[in-house]
Amino acid sequence: MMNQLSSRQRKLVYFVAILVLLIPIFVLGRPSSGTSGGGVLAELRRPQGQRLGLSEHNLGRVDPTSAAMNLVLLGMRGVAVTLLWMDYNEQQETKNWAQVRSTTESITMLQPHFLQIWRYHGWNMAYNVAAEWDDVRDRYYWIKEGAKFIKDGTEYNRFSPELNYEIGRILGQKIGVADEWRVYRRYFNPEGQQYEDVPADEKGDPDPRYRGGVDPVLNPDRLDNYLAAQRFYEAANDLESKGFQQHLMMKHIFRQYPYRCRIDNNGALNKEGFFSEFVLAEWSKAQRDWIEGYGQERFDTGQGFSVNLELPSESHYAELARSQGVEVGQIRRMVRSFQNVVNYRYWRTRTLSESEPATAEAHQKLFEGEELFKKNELTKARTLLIDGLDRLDEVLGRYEDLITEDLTVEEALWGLMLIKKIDELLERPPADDLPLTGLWNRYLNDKVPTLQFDFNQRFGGL
Amino acid sequence: MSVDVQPFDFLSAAGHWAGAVAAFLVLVILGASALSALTHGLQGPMLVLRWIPLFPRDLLQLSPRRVFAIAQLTFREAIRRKALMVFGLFALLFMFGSWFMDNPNERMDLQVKNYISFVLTAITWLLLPVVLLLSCWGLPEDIRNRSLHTVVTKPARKTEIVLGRMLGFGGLMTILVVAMGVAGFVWIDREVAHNLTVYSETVMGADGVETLVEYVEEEDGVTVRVTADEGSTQVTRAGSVSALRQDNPELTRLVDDARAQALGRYLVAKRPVMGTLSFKGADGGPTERGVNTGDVWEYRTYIAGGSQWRAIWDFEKIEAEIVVTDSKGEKRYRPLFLESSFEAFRTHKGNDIRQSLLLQYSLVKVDRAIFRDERGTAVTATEVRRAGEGAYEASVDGQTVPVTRDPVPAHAVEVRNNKYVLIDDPDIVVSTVEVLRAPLPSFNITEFGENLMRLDRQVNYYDQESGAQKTLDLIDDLINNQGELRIEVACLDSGQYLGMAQRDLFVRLPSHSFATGYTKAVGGIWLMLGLIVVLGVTASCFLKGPIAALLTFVMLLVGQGFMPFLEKIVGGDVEGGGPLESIIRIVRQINLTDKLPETTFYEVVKGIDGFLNEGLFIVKNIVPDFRNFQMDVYVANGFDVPWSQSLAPSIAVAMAYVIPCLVIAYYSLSLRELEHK
Repeated sequence: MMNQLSSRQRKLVYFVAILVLLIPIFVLGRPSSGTSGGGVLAELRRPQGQRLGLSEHNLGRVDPTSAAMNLVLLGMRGVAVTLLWMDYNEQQETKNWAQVRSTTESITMLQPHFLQIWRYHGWNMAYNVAAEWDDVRDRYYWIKEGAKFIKDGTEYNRFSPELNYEIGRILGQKIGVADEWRVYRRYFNPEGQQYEDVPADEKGDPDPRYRGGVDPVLNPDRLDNYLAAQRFYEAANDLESKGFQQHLMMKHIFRQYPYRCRIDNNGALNKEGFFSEFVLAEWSKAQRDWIEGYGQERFDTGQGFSVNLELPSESHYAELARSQGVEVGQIRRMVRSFQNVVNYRYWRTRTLSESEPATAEAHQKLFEGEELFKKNELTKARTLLIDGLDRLDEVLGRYEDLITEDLTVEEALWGLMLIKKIDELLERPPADDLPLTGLWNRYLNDKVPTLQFDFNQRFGGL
Repeated sequence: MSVDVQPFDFLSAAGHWAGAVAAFLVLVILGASALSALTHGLQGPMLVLRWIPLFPRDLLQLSPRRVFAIAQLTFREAIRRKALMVFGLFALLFMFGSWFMDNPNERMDLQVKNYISFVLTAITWLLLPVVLLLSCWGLPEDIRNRSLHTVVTKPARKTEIVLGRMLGFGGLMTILVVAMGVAGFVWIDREVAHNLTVYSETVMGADGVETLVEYVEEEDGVTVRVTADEGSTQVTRAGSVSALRQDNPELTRLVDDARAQALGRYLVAKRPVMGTLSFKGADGGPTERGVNTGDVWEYRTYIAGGSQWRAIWDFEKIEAEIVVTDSKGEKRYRPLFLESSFEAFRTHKGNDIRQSLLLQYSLVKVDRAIFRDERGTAVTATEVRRAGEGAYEASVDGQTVPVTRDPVPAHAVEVRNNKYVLIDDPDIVVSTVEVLRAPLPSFNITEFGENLMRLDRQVNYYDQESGAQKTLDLIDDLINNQGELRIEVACLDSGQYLGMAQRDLFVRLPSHSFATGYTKAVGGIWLMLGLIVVLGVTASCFLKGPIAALLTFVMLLVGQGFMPFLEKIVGGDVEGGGPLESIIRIVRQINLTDKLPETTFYEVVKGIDGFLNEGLFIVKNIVPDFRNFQMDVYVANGFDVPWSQSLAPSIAVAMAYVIPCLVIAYYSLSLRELEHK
């Protein structure tokens, strides 16, 4: 019959047939837009709500540019990415920072769901590129760039605990532990109570866009760096508890980070010379978080039972063993082992001791003593330092666990070195009745010489 | 920015070119004679020799009218082949370009580089395939469909056909380059203006009052801070830019001035005057290079802080840049601007962690000379003694002879074995005496950014010896008789290092507009495409379309991407030997650095490799060096394209291929069987 039709009629028939065939294709293949369900095929990819999550948009935002680029490359994505990486290496080597940033952008555009790329480049910017710059403001800019870059990554990969963890690490550990931590923390949250007396031009984000305020992308809630990091660690833990796996470390190590943040923040506040009631309350909060939060989390031991790290009494051990039908000894062994891995008991003791006014007083006196020493008010400084050490002695008497911990020991040894230095400057004979002399003698061969080196560098030899 | 090219010496390049072309022609004639001798016997070489004058005769009888007619025909033909479709692609790229590069850098100074590189790269890579295919397929296609017969049967000469083709394609290519260049310029300008949402500029009012304008545009509104003459700051907030314009017309004027100034800072073509770099080492004496701090990139070497290490720049003909003659013919002093971009390397974080490294410039007047005896022979300065006021003598061959001082310019001198010596004759030590020194105030480095210092004619400095403030005249006291100025750079922080490369310190002349630098860079692209047309048309005279396209593409590939590698191989800098040796090393798993056994076999292998290497030497010298045409690196980094280092060599390279290509094309077309499809 077709042979009897004219050419034009045949074309029309073909056209109509194409249109008719397109309808089922459209119905079947319509992609899901995230809000609407999409076509039958799209529905098939997620038969039980979103649980299977096979379609790309389930991973996170799908960028039309990225999709277009991948289509245009006709399957040559691997080659293109490799070439971009080669470019990237050369650009970083030749310090071509403008293009480093845009090449990174192109790589992630081609492989937006490849987590390692986001992690690597974010880390590289925050740790390596930042270190290449001399001005501390520039270094801070690149640290933030690294965190922001990974934050972009979380939009494309909204179920990745790892990316959230990395942002937390940059905001917490990089900003809080770098040599420049005092400066960075002031840049990060100029509104912290501890900076009330700091002049306006010495705090706040140095980027002219934020005019001494905070960077709203990373710190919308105006928190200290560790507490801002805590939000990201919490997001990572939330995802992890929903079943999205992380492949970075053991579960009980991974999940401790949000709880550690407040402890770290309080430590930083103390080091910054801030010892108010507010900080004491913060230490109590940190203690509750650690014991009632982290301590109550259940971790699978891989031996057919699970444990939590805070078990205050024998009956708790017995109850946990009974409920899972295992020996108490097994429970005790595993709890001990898990606790050792994350140094659980130390942090518990530390938060407990730091929540006490006596500890705060000891820290404050030692801090103020050192400040007076720097101002050359030696006699006053000595009295304060002795007082501080006495208080510390008392605290250590109550919390013996702390005697073996670096931070506490170093604080005490540092105080003793200051006193010895003062005695030397005042041309007094070396005192033999100083508090905590036992601690000094105990670490005479290891910690004392190392710390002495730092001390001499800063204040000149003893 | 990491471009470090030597000024182009046109004369020596022309000499090299003439030698190469002559050698090439002689080789071709010898080869042709030998071949013809095989087929035609003794008559053969005579036939070849008779062909030689045909080309010059053809060239002399060239008719511009006919060339133009063929060019016109070529142009029309190319348009009929839909060459202009490339505009569609170009438009697409620019419509969506900003999607792909939507401000990955929050810092505008970094982002501008991306915009400029993107535009120039896009123009190059969009036009390259079009121009390459058109020029390579034109003639073979004419031969195939026999339309060439309508031309060759007319009184048109072969040279005219070839030239006409080249000009026709060249014309079309010019139109494409100009149109894309203009569109690209507008795009860059708009993108930068659109994304410039934060700036802080000091605007000089008509009354000479300086006003600091700080502008921040965010999603929820605009904030403008105006500080007039170090007085109080007035802060204005508006919901949007248009609201600001409506409510504060006066402030808007100020903001617009500041914006124009900021745009001028990002889109600019700086004109640098480069100096000659040398170093003083830990003992204060001259040394070849600075310290190596272990950086993988060996572009910069470092000077140690708080020591006698110095980096020294000698600027020649500086007086001509400072003293300018205005329109009335009067001499006027123009302040000198020194711009630097050093790199810091720290071995410790420093006492104040917020402080960037401190550095200091010193202006030094140097007296640089060699000594010559009566015959004019140079005598090394170490042999020279003072023999009275202005008189010198030296021991030459055991005899004491009077010598005279002869000043030498900085570029003729280099440091070798911790001595200043003549580059042309390294045995002659140059006497370099520092006559006067004025240390300038120290300042903190801005890394990877702009460190600008203004030098007025009166230089005030603190003289450490006398402990008094002194004043010197830059021209009269500090610039030496040859119009040179020496600037010494010291790092003041002990234990820290400052990285220096030759381009890191320069005298900045009043900048050209961005359009100037950009036009030159587009001109570079034009020259490169022109060369592709010449090569393509020539190849198409003796090859079929696809093969001609392949040949031209390979030349482009080698000339653009493989040139550094070729240079390494030919220069013998590649470890592991030539091709045969490499294959043997791979198969026998011998490490690159392992020595090969000294046997006859390996001697033969090395001999063959040497022969193959000669082949590569010829390839390297025949294939045009397309790197010369890459000028985007200058413009993207805010510099004007320099004439002697970039424009001149690229013009020379393009021109160098025209004549040989014409010769090849003429003879190939003459010999080609046009009936053959």
